[in-house]
Amino acid sequence: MKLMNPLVVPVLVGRFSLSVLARVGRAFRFVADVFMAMLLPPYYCKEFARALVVIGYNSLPIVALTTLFTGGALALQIFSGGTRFNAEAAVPSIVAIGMVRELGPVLCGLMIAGRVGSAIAAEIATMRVTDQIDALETLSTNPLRYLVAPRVAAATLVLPCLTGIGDIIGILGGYLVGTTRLNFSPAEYLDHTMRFLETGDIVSGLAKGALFGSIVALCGCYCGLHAGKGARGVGTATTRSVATASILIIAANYVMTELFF
Amino acid sequence: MADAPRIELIGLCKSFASTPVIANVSMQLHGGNSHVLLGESGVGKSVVLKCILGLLRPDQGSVLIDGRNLSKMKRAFLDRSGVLFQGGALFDSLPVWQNITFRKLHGSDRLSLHKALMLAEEKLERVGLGKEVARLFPVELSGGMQKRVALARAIAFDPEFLFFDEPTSGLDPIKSVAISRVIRDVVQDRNVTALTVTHDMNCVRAVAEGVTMLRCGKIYWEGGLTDFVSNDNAYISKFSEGHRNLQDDHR
Ligand SMILES: Nc1ncnc2c1ncn2[C@@H]1O[C@H](COP(=O)(O)OP(=O)(O)OP(=O)(O)O)[C@@H](O)[C@H]1O
Ligand SMILES: [Mg+2]
Repeated sequence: MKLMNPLVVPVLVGRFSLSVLARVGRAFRFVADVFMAMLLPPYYCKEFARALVVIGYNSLPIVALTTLFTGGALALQIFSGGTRFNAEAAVPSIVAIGMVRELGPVLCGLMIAGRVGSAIAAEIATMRVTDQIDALETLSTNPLRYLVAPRVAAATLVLPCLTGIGDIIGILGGYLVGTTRLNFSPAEYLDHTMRFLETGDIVSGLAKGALFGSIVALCGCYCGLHAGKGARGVGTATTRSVATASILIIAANYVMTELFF
Repeated sequence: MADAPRIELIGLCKSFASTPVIANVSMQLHGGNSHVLLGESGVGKSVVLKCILGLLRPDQGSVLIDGRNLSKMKRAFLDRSGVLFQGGALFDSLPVWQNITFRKLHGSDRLSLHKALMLAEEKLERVGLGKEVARLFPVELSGGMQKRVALARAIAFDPEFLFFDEPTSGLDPIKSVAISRVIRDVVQDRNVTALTVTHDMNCVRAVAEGVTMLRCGKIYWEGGLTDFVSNDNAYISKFSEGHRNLQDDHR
């Protein structure tokens, strides 16, 4: 039997770590370039306005439905858990705090990653495979400024708003279930909701939303710009953008929670 | 032609995933000259074009514009260039008139929307399309119409350098003659430096002054148009008289 060269393993490990590092480096460089592009003129206001509508306004139904049902389910779960140690009264405040600090921003981020991140990636990847990105460059337009900066800026601004709306609707879901199914009186439920909710809870939730928004748009744009060839390239870019954004959102959520703890 | 070349390629090499596509391609394009790049499908003509435009980075070799390295003046060079991409590459989120005037729709020297629309209509007329096309979106046009809109976009702001990648593919013979004429007129009127990639011999005859032929990623032949069409090299005459070969087969 031929002996394997003992250097094969370290060489493979080295090659793998170099390629991972190169990828991470490219991604960070991209983020830095995008933020530079956002600060410097020219600004493409029409693109920005279009992105606000597509990312924000058009996502309202999906965010509202998700948070409404989650708020309702949360109320039921906490009630069934709470009865075991006579803590039913905590349902409204736990629904509110859980929604505002955690579920509102995470659900919004994940829903937007699926709805908007994929659309951004597919659009930009199609532009890449049909030479439209190259055409932009030859027309003296920086694709980072024209395509990426408006989308990232819009997503970063709009996600906190969506999160705020999602929080309110989630709490409403809990309220509806609490008052119809769990024998809370409306006044009592609202009173418990407001009593323990602090400004810090709300601010931390909205800050998470802003971070998740920029993650979604950056992943969509990065995967789109680096798409491979043809229809398969577009498909891969889309999948990759949603998967990467979702994982980064979950991880960033933990980090942010530690920071605000 | 003793004057210095405006565009010079020196020993360009480019591989994709360690498959070499072009090797040691050197070329000179002079001011006021219309040059044609010929070669079989897949030989790397579009790759050469993208290297000149700085859209692909060659593995070796360099591109000089007016004697200066492209990487140092890419912005300024592209500001003065018009490009027709092989697939048209129109922006499908914008109507035709905004595609044509895209360069001057943003930034400090932007045109008023009315002026931009007028200009787009004028350029559309130049490439044989009606005014009503201006407000349509690229997806509403046929392939050949898209090609002509892309041509209108390339010539819209009187560039000094023009690059056309297969301007007449996908057009009927009558339109392709008309388009070849437009290209020839633009080049002659304003003394631009032009490079056209094509297989269409009618187009070659109409627009070429100089011809470069690629084969297997290398430069196979270089010279003037008259030398090219009267050349008795077997490969070249096969290329330039492809339609006659077919007629012979038929007989
Ligand atoms: N981005 C890319 N990645 C990998 N391979 C590529 C890429 N671009 C071009 N190639 C390869 O380079 C070769 C030359 O392609 P190119 O588009 O330059 O051909 P062409 O001469 O323009 O042909 P045609 O006349 O059909 O347009 C092809 O074999 C193609 O597969
Ligand atoms: Mg080509």
